[in-house]
Amino acid sequence: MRLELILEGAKRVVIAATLYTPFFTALNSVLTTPQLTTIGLEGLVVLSTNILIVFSTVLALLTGNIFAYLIPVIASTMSLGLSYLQVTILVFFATYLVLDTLTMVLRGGEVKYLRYSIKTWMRAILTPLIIVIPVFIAAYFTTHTLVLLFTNTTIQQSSLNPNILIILTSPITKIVLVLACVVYVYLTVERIAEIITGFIKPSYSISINKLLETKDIDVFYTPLSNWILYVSVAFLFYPVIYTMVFDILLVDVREYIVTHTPEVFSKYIVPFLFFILLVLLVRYLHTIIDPLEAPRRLLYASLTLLLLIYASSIKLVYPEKGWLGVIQPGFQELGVFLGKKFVDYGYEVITVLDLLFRILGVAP
Amino acid sequence: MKKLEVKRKLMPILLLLGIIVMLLSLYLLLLAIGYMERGYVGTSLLTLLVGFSLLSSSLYLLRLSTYVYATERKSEKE
Repeated sequence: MRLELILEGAKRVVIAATLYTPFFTALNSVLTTPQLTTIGLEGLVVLSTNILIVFSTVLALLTGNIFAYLIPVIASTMSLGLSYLQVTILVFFATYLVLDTLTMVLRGGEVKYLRYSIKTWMRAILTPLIIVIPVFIAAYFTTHTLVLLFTNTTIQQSSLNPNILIILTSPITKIVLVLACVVYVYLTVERIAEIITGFIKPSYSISINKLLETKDIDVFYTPLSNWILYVSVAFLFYPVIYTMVFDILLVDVREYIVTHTPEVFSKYIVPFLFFILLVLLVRYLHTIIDPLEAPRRLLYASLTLLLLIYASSIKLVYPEKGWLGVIQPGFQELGVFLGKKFVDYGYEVITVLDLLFRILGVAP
Repeated sequence: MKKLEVKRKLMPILLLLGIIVMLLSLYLLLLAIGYMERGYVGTSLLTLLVGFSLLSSSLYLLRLSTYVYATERKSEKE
């Protein structure tokens, strides 16, 4: 009984410590608002949020309810105009969750003494922590890396190729890097949390289900982030195949597209769509996904590539030799032609990616 | 009976293997940082790849060991 009272008191203290600043800020701004008729829509939203904060803080202090506590926490982070997660609020929230679980374990005064083993107490303390910690680590990592990347990266401008400099200094590169890091860290932390939960509270039915499920247990070797692999492989083959298809074989089609459509379409969108198609093709050919079908698919792909090379080398020498090119295809000329085009298209793809993200509003 | 005995030893083996592989992966990740500092970019990236693969495999082993632990506990109780 006494312990429960202490815990309830501790909960109130945590709530008061968390919501001290937001409560008084909100109260102050509510008391100092001018007449309702003079403030606009924005002011009305701010005013109602502040009133909500004040009321639910009082409610949370009186009842100790978790929802009454959550509402001002979320509303205050939005209304105070902070763009980052406040570490202190997160820590207090985790503490509150622990205390709440403990009071629920104690079952409010029904029984005078409830004895629990140390193991149960440990579980009661650790379970909310396991839920909170992965989110906390991911949030911390995100903010930390973002701050590092956006403030401290200095690249010597003179020593680099201008094309590479554009890629390195582009905000998109940073965003993609941070996203990849955060996703990887979150997945790892989630796995670790799953393992700890498995040891703290072993469940027979879940583990039997998992062990019987062959799809989850039989794992082939899968390297990290397959999509990066696909994009890089497609990037390698892209200029060659694009040149053979659009500059040699379908040159008339390309001329038609250039003359009859806007410049953006022919210069950026068609190559970009072609690149996406190539990435999907590489993914289709990836042998680990479907080991039985893979040899046949690879055979088709290599035959198609050979046919493409043969046809384009015939087409290249057709004006000089005519149909004699079927016997004497101009592989040499094709090589020279491809070498010229190799550098330009790679750069174009990156420009298009950059442009696309800018249009979508992902990057400033 | 003999089969049961073997089963009971499976969980510590998996746990030990998982921990060893995780330590190895952490060592490799530290090595990768050292290589990068000394300017061996290619070596460093390769070490990073090996380290991350080992890390994921160690997590997989530990996950398996939790499943085995749960099933073994149940069979011990019966």
